[in-house]
Amino acid sequence: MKKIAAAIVVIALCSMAFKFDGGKIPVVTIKNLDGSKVSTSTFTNNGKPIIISFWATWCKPCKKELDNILDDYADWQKETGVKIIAISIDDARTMPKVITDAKTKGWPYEIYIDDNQDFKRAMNVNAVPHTFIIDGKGEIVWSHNSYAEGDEIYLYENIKHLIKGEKLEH
Amino acid sequence: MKKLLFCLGVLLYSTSSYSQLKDIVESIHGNFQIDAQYYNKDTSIGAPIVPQKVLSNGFGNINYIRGGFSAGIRYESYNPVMQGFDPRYQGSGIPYRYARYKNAKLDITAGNFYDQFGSGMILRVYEERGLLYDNTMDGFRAIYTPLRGLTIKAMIGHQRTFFTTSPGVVRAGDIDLSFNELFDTSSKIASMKTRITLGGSFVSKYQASQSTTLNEPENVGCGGGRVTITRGGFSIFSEYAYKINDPSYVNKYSYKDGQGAYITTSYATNGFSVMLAGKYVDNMGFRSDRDQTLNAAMINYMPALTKYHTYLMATFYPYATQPNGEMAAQGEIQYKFKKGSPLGGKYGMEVAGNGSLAYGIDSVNIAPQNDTRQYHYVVKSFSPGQKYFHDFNIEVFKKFSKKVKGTFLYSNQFYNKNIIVENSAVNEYANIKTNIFVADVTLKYKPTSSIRFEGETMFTKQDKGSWAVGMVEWWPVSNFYLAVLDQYNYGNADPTKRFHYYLVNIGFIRDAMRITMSYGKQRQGIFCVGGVCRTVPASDGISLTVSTSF
Amino acid sequence: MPYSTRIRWYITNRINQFLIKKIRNFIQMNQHIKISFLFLMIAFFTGCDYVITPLKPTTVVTSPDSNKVYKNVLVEDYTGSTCVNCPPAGAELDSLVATYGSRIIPLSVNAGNFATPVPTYSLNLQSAVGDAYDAFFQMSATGNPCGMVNRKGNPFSSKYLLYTLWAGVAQDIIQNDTAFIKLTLTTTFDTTTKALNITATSTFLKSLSGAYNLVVLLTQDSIIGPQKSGTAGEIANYQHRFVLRDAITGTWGDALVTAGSNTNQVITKTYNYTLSSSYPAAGTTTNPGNKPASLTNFKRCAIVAYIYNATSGSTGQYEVMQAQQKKIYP
Repeated sequence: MKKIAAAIVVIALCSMAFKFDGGKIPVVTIKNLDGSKVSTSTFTNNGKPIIISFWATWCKPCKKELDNILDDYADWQKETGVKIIAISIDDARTMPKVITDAKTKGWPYEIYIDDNQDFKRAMNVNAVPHTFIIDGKGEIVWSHNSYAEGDEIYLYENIKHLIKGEKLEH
Repeated sequence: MKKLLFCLGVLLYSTSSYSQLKDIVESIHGNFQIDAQYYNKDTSIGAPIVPQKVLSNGFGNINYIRGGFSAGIRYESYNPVMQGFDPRYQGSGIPYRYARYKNAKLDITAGNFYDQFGSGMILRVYEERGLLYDNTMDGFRAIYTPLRGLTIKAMIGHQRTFFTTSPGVVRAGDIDLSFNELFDTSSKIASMKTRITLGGSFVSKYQASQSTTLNEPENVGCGGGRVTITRGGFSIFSEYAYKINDPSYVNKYSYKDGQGAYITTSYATNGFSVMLAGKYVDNMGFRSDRDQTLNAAMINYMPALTKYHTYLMATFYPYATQPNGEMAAQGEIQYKFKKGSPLGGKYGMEVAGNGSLAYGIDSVNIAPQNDTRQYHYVVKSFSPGQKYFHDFNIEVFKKFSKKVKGTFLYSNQFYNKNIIVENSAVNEYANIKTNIFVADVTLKYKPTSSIRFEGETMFTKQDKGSWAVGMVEWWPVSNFYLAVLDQYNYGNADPTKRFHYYLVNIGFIRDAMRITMSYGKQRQGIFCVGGVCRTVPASDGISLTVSTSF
Repeated sequence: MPYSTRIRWYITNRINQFLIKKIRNFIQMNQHIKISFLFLMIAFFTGCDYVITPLKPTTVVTSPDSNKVYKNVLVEDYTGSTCVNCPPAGAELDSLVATYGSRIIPLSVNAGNFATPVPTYSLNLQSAVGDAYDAFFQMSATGNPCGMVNRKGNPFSSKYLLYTLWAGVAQDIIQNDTAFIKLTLTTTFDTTTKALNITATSTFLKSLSGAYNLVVLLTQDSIIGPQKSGTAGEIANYQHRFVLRDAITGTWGDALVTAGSNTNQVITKTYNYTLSSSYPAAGTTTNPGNKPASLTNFKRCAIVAYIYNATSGSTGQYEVMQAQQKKIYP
């Protein structure tokens, strides 16, 4: 019992002590939809922000998030130039569904497959959905796990704060 | 425990000053999770007394990156391990640590690593923290990329089993060729619409034999190849694997060789997709310890070729690949009715029809007196044997208004309990036939507040009878939720066993941190893998999960 | 040179250079690929043992010399009536007894969920001591069938052994281990009062350090009852062998020595126990193994006693040092 309480205190301390200074995206090799390899160092958006969203075809909230953003994506891009990169952590069991789900839903996002979960591990993602905001310099400035209806509103507000150089909300 | 706190203290201090070193791209990151449960005795549902009262699983990862160099450790602690997990996870320790260096052409890891070849049918070393599955390799790995489009992997090591390593040494190599990329970017092949990737892999394991009755092969090899072809919306992936004699506890020490083949084809375009996949497996269980069972020391990965359901009633009788032999197929069609079309309505409607089948292979047992080569069985023909499973389902997603959307699922399933649960050749249980209906509706009553209603029912005449599920999940604000769930076995033939398994769950989310607490009852389950069965006891109590990443 | 020829020469030269570069690149690339595939092919053919004669010739076991003191092997089989994969483990235990005779002390522990009686498998072969061992050593919690051989294994989780590993571990102990403790049992049994008197004499053959406990258990052989089987369905007249019925000492035994022993130290302990009348009756008229139905149950009872290392915190804690068995009625 004592050990568990101590562990919880440690975890709480960690999350409060570490200001989110995420640093640059770790350089990891993942895959394109056609199976060829691509490095995360190629993720750029000409100085504009990037949203990296970890998802899986079996994760309903993940797909909900990407579907809900779809309605506003065109506006978001026009106003801020933000780009969404959707990283699928599906393994061989559900990997064929990555392209079929994305295409059927008409997602225009850049989709990559992290089937060995190297990128998920390097970004220290515990569970999906997990969304990150990357600023124009390639640094992680915001990290959020889970998705609730309407979370995309907060996500976009933070993008706007980022563009204007303001502090991000948590 | 004190050591860990001290290390963390050092970490906290050092990272608070790391910002001065920011230009050298140096960082420390990690994640933690702890799950704890307090158990009550509940004789009605069969929840046993847990003498320790509280059981917990916990882990913490810390990773350090500086340019191309990275290193990290993971500390795990089971005080003791929660019910339902393999009790051989005992105590605490550091079962995972690595040091890695990579540059443009070479990537070397010393210590623990995860990897996979193709679809994993030959080798997949991975972790699934939620299931406490971890078969990480402890050894050395080199990934060499001499040319763009050619990746060569070589690795050697022992697999993790709980807090120690498996006795077998695993040596593996893989070549991955992205055909189009091998040619100059300006050439026709590089910019061709048809993309081809090829791969070949080989894994060999060595384990000394301790058998007093069998001449066991100490070196066992498994190899194969794969091809992926994509063009526009079309895609084909196929893989074949062949394994030499590999007598093990799981295949009852059969000396027969093993084969596996997997093919999946799909066509996807805007608003429509179709997928068809097939799998054939004959004696492809492959472990780095021939005398190991349950989920330990598995080298390869053979997932079920069935739809990955997320609704409780649809996953009540889940299928698992039978490594000793199966033939399976799956097909899926998805269509999105556009906005404005008659069925699509104002916001569109998505329909997905899916069907999967699994059969045994057509094999016949060899009488022991004729079994000099110890094959135990022969495959008569390339045709299906006994039926194991089917799942025909249709899922519809429709947004009715700005505030209301819903998902509706119907699934018809067939579950051969004798084979899937106990791998028994005897017809003790009737095959379970179920009809499942699910309605999952979300009402977004404010821009950032929503409430979700889920109703499910499973009609069946076999096993424990029919069940119904009701759930309400309320998100008053986007970082807090409250959910109430009840699983009711209303159709049980024995009226005294018609229990309600209720659960109350609350959660708090802030950035990368998540704290959830639940109180309620969970039903009993039986878990059989590799010739050994274990009961997952019913439980009644409070559980807490805290996780974060930084 | 005329202008047109110069251009033609220039163009062909450029094309030649381009082609040569392409071919060189291709050969280089091909070499990498060739070498890689060659490496895989060599690995495939050298990294495999192909076995043509799987079965080893049966080993001839020399019968024990009655003048020597041998270290016996306690082989425990954790099982249950509804455990579908368990009959092969029971058969393995029978096979070990047939091969090694008195060197093997067999014990079947019916504990855990698969030993809990249900309507079709209603014979209750559980015992409090069996449940305690099963819970402590995490046998059924990990999965049945399973067992232990002299409770050897370090770390703790490796005490759990699949039945196919029992023979190897037992043979290793029989061929290589020397006995440090001698254990002799004498029993007297009154058939009318069902009173049993046991005398257990432990002789330390060498000076050992630490604590050692003696555990005395009551077993019953060949109880006829139903058993589930993955190959034969429900076996109505299954012969449940070497079933653990009760503990005569406590679950964890009585201390023989707590702080080490001297050479040739002899400790004698006596126990009294009365057999309960609730023991299941002998089976049907057609018993497997051709045992006459008239054989009354106490004739199938035996005492199993073992001495184990009880030194708390030591790496060999719980390991069985010596085991012995004796039928209660000749």
